Amino acid sequence: MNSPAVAGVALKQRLAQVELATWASVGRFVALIVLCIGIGSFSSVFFTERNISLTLTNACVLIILGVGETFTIITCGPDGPDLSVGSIMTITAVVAALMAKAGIFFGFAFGASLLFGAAIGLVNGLLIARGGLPPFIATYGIQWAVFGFAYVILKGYVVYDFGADFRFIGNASLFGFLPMPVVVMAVVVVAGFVLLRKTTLGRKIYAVGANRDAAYMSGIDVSRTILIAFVVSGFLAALAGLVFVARTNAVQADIGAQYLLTAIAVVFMGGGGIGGQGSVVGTVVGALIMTVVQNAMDLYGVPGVWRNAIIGALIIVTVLFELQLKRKIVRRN
Amino acid sequence: MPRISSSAAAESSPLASSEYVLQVRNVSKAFPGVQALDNVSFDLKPGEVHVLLGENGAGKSTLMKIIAGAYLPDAGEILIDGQPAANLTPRKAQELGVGIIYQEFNLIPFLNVAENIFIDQLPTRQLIRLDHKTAHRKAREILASLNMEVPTHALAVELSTAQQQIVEVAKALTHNSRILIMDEPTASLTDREIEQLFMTIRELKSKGIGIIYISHRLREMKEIGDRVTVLRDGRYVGTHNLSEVTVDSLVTMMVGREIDLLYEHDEVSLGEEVLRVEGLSSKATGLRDVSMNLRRGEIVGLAGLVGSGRTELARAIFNADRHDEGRIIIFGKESKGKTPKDSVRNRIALLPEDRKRQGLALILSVAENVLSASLDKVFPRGWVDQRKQKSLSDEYIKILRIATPSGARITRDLSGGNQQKVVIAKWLATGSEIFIFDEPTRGIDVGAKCEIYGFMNHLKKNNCAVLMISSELPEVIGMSDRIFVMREGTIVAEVSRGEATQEKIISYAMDAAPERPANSGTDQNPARADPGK
Repeated sequence: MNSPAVAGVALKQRLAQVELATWASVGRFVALIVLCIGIGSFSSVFFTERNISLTLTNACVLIILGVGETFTIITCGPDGPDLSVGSIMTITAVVAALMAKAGIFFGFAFGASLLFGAAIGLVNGLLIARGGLPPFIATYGIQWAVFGFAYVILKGYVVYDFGADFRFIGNASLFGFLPMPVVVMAVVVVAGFVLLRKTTLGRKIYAVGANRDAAYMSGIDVSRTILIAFVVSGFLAALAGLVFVARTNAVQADIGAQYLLTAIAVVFMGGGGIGGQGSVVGTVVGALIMTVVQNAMDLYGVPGVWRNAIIGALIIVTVLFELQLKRKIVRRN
Repeated sequence: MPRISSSAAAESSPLASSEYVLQVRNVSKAFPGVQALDNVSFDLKPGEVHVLLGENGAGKSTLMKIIAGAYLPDAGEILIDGQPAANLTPRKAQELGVGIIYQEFNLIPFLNVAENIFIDQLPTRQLIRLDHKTAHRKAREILASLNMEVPTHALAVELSTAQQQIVEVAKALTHNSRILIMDEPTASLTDREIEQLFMTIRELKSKGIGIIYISHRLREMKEIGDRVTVLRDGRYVGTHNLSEVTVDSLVTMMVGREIDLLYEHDEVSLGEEVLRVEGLSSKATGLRDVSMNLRRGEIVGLAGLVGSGRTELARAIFNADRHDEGRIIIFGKESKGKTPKDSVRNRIALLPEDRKRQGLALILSVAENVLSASLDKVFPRGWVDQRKQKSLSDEYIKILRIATPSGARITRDLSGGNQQKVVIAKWLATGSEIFIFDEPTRGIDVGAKCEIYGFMNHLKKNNCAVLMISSELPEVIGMSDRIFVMREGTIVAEVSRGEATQEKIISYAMDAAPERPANSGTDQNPARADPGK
């Protein structure tokens, strides 16, 4: 009875049971691999250790921010991006930099900055969960306020040149080859993954995002869950700011602005966007696709005028592809 | 407005047809799993009020929507002015003179009365400039022709319910409607406003407009209606002159069904009282002085019309809505709960009416849904143990015979009955002992219905208490040990299993009972808040 036809049917049935999200993430991952192989076969530099290390390091800030956005977008859906992460990144970098300049122990400066970021996230969360503001308005308003505050503190100056201990998480390497930003990023990714997939909090986040009414009627504390998602996002934005400033060794009041929308886009590229959908791994793959393409444009010397157009096309094509794949699978069932 | 007409059709139509402005002939319509209309006929003369009567789910709305062009019938035909009107769309129906006033008005809150009346045909000058003057003048004319005074500059939000309704009528008149469908027009009006509405309706009749009048209020339809057509389970029961029928005979026509044998019912010795509601009132949801109780080992039915406050009572018990007055006592202790979270801790389960909106996260897996109300109980340390999740959800899938290839399947892919079982599994997992089912079998096929009845009976035998809200009277009577009947936000009667008949319950529910029960004294209409918040 073990004819190939029977085996084929069995395989088909087995495949039919694989869930949509699994297919999408496999597809996304394959796309990343194909992209890397494609670029690598045209460039001798791409697969060198130096380039890989550089690309990963470049991806760190984006991934850390993206993980934060993943939390808020899963919880609140397409209206849920946290627009204040760029400004939180800036203000915490500024605060940490000024504390370091004032001779305060770097560990204390870091800790204070992270708490500050989480506190801004808490304000976002309170405005949204308790105040009932749409996330867009709450986080957009906070963004203006926080950016403004950063300008007030810095008065347009650039602060630069910090001590070696301060720059540790940006510059040092673990075991001599793992850049510290990558280590920090890896910790964030694992923690984010565990939090979303392995804890009841993660379950509640998905449940609230998938159907807020049903979650409420199931006895889930909806507003607390939303609150936590924005605190996580604020905390991670602060961490991204520290990594950024430690790496660039300088801070001015507008860093962070460039990352904001890209960090949101990579969540969508990674399968997020509807409440209750999306994952840390998806976001990471999305961010890597983004960074790898940017790296390829560096390697090929793509002129600056073309870069933005290519990035725009990349975002649209990736998300379109994602949607098409999902639609096909839905039709198959 | 030009009328679409075909002279050929006019010649071929029988002479008698000119007597009717609307004829519905042998119309059928099916939705997945339900035969909503089965070979139904209906006609309407100019200048008459023809009442459409039936229980919830009898097919009134479907028929109404077919006449208004919102649905296409599967079979049968519709004739307007004796001419076949095939492939109606809402637009086409409007052009042919069909106007409809839904129970929920469609006025735009921050536009004024004139703008609302002419919403889709505002008079313009030089094509694009709105001619407000003409709009207001014409609006006043139309309102005056109804003998009504509504300030045309007032915004829709500022109007009373009755005034809003007048504006809806005026809106329909601007389309030269000759067939006007009114869906429960008196549902939220006071007695005085109802009088005014009836005057308007008489005015419309004198203009030769035919009115299809949908209402549950038997007494008032005797006052305003000319003829009545009764529907039951999507089938045509009969048409009569209202002057020739009694309220009692109408009730019998509406409910004349036999109770099937599918209701599993065991006598169980009653246990202690687990739920007691005392004098519960809420302005926001319209509950008025509700008192009831529930004991272990019994199924209590909560009957009443849609909008009578059954769902609102369930939600109040479950702390999903706040209440202003009264006490809720759970397991002998006064409940201090504020949110459903507290109720879940108190071992109360609410299986909501709209399971897709409030009961399930459709895009999540079956297993995730099964555990969604008991996460803190099953995983008290906050870590989700995948193996435990799988074994638990697999167990419920097996017990409840949920038809799914695995617990990892997305819940949306399951049938309605199986989705309902997932909701049941979710509440079983919480270890609840008080189960409130709100329309547990709505939209579910007969097989799954039976299983759900069996399951409720099982809960009862296992010392749990069940409160069941249902609009299906046979189901209420077949399953319940006792029945509370609600009307207009309060409980108007308690009926024991032995004395429960459909006629009795429906007459309490519709205020057609020969004698009123003690706790409903006055004849005023309570201002009812919109239940579907």
